[in-house]
Amino acid sequence: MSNDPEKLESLLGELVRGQPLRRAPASLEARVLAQLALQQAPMPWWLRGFTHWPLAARAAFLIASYGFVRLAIAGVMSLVAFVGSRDFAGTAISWVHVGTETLSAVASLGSILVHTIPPAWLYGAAAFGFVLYALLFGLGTVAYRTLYVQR
Amino acid sequence: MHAYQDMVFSTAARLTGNDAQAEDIAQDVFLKAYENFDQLCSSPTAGGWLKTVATRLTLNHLSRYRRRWRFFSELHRDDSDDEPELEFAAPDLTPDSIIADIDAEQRQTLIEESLRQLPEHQRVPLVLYHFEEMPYLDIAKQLQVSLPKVKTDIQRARAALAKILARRGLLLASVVVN
Repeated sequence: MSNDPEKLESLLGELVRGQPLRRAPASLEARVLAQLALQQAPMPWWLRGFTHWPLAARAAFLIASYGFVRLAIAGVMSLVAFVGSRDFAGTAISWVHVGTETLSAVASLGSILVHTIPPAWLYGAAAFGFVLYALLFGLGTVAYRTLYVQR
Repeated sequence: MHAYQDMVFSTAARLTGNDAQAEDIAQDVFLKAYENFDQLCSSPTAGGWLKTVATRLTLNHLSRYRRRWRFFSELHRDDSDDEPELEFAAPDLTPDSIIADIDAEQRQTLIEESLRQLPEHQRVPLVLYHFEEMPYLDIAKQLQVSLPKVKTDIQRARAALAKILARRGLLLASVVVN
């Protein structure tokens, strides 16, 4: 009568019946109370709503906001004025020219390199990279299974 | 909290098989209980509520953990049926006579340690059925798996647990190779 499911069920039922509870760690109560105390502690004013801020803080915030808005508007206005001027067109064109020149140089260099290296080397490098990736992935899996997973 | 902390911790610890995680879950359960303190303090079903919340939070925790590590976890999933079978010394014996006569504390330690050795997909339904006394159908709903799968997992878990207990001398049975 090996591995009889009914017998196993009644056997384990018998074993488990009346099994005492595990004792909770002594630190549990202290942790819960500490967390509750943390939740109930009054929040500092800067983490609460604007209406709960002190009067001076609210006034300072409004003044700072007004100054910031004025500064932003002045900035936008001067930017618009600069874009409308002739200087901007000349500067922008020169920057675009430098950018395209740099890109073109980098592309030429890359093309020369690719044509210089034999294709077998490129395939070999790609294969090596893949093998290295698979190896690291496998090592990670083995490390997880042996060191981390509790069996 | 004193009255229920062992129950909440036991539920979480048996399901997770990990005391540190169980303590975190138990903390969350009591914080939730505190949020509902007004209803719970006068309720005669507070214990049931705490047990339900502990079970639900533990299953949520396990499901999050499982999703995170699904790939790795399934690599070592082992349902092998080619393990040696368990054979009881005499089929006519009652469960009482198969269980070795050892003191209660040692028996508890052996059972808890053996439970921890089961893989999660076997331990969780087994604990829900035998320790939490949840019916098969409810377990299937909680774990979002089919009823036959729950029954199969529990059956395999029982066999695996019995083998571990037999090896550790708690069951008077022998593990035989067919």
